[in-house]
Amino acid sequence: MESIAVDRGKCHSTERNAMKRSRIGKLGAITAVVLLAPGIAGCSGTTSGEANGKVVLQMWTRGAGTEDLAARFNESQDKVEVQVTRISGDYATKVATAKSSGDLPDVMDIDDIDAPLYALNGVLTDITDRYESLSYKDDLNKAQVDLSTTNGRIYAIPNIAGPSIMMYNKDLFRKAGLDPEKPPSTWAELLEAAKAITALGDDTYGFSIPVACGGCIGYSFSPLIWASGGEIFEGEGADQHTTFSSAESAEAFGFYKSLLDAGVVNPAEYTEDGSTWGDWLASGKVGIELGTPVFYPTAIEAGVDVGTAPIPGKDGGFATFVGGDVLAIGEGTDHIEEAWQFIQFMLEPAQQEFVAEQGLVPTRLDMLDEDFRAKYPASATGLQAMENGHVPHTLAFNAIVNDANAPFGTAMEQILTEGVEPSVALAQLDQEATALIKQAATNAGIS
Amino acid sequence: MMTPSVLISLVFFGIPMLLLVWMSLNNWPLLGNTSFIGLANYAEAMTDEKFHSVVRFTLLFTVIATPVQILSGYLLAMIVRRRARGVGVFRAIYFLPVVVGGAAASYMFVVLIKPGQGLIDQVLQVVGLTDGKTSLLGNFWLSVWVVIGITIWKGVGTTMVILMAAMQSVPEEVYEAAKVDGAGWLQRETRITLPLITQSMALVLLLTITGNMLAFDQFFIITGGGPARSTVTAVFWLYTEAFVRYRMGYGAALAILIVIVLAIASAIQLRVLREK
Repeated sequence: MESIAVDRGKCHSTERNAMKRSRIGKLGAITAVVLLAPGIAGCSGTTSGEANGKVVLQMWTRGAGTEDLAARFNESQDKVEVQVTRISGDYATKVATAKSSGDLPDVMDIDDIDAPLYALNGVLTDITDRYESLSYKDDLNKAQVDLSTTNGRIYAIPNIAGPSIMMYNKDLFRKAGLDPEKPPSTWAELLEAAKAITALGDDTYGFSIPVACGGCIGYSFSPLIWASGGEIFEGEGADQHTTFSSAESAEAFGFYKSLLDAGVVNPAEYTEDGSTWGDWLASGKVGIELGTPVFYPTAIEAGVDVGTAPIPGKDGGFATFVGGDVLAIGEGTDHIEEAWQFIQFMLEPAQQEFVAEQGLVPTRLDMLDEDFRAKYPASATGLQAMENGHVPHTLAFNAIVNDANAPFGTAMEQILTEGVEPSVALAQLDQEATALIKQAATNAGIS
Repeated sequence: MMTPSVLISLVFFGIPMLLLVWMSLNNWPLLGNTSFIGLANYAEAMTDEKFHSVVRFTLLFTVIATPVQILSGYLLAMIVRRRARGVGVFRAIYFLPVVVGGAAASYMFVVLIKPGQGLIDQVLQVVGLTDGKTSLLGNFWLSVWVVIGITIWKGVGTTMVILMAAMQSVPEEVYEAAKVDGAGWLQRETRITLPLITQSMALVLLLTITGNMLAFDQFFIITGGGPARSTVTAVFWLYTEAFVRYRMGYGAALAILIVIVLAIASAIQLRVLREK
């Protein structure tokens, strides 16, 4: 889900927009140059093949900084050249068009949540054996590997992770008499800290909830359920169903409601649709925010002293929602070997560290050491949280959670701001979500 | 043999329309195999509660927005129909928003009403209509009126120009005679202007209703369908089915249904107005 790809302004894919906003300054210039560079510019119909004795690979990306990494790869050897096309807007539609015309790129960097859909529909090459041969395969982020696995076969390798974490304003913690080195580790502590910070007054609020962005909340809120031992998706394929009305989940929804009732959320955030989600923490007026690590560098630049910690469960423990990108080889390419060589390059420590430099999180858990922790604190917290990383393996995640009209966001809004009884809203949510799963399964030809 | 206009209609309208009809008769996922399912998509649309509710909202929006739009267009046309010095400036000012792209205009409004940052929000606070940052989009009716506001701002210029041209074709002597007979301002408008510009009124009505029934970008960008999915229009829903849920066949069926409804609505309007 990590991307600076420019698409429509709404929060269609969890933290995507927040990322876009906060990163565009830094990467915008590079991106623009690359987009304008002749031969790399998108949709020009460049084909893979051979040029100047080199194998030319076409790559589609939505990930951050891919162009720089491809340039590194091209300089590192003289046999293969990767040409990057940045896909902005509707990636899935472009993939579908390319699939039907037989023009799939050799290498693709895709939103991990879409991996099952692509794998089922023959868009991706089975790379199970190659994955098995990786020396660091057990250190790869498990949640994303699971998402890249369809019917027991592996179709993609995770390269960028976007785990949700808790970030808090240390200055506000100090002012409110809280220990800035002891972030809340249970829901009760979280509520207490949020209340203490709100009591500071002067338009300061303890907690941030982007109420009108279902995708943002799906990403930042779900770990509260997982960390408390709950689940939201159960089963597989057409028999999959959601369990939003389970006790653990209902309790988490109730907890969010209690935060609003306690007045620790700025009412101006009731219509936050994700487009300025990252600004709240950076404004210095919000005590605690659950969100993407990408908010961290932005807030630091804005002069806010930010601490990070994993998202806690009700009585302790932690979990994270791991969005992110995975690398795959397009079905039908003549250059599997070269494409695999590039994927391996992307997973080398130097390139994984580049991901952290961008404010994102590497997918190799063996990157985490003291040195890394000191250099990239938010990224390190993300890596640590990924030990209990989750991401639903489903065909209908966008329809259920990310889309502006998805039932998840509707239920959340009903509970938070419209006074609808949680049990009623959640039962309705489960019913609609399960219907959407059935629909998506039928659509994908699974029954 | 084939005239260019026939050819153009066929290539840009006929063939795509036939393809759309064909898609609507299939289960057509974005990725994967398509399969012929006859009228199943249409049958689903008949029982799809979500679709019905978005259609009801679209009709509600059309019923409220259309008269407001036409009335504002009429009033503006009255102001600028005179051939006086400087009136051209006002014509240009009122018409200017028409040439702004719909998406750009919507984003502009998003910025303007942003709580705490937008100009409109700050003005509301300064004049004391609201206390503190207020989000206009947190409430159903406010959201609807915000969208109606931008729809009018964006489209009223077209209405104005069409009505103005029609008004200018009404001979001045008719008004002179009416004045002599003691007809007041309101009487002159309703008894003289209106009956003489029926044709243009019909056109404006047709265009406005069609535009409102097909409203999409302003809702997509400004309200995003919120609060809580209450401001989703028919085309917005079609988009969701086709490009979020990847059900192109069903989306195509909804598109065909909307076309049919619009065709019927237009036929009725033309008929009614012609009989007059």
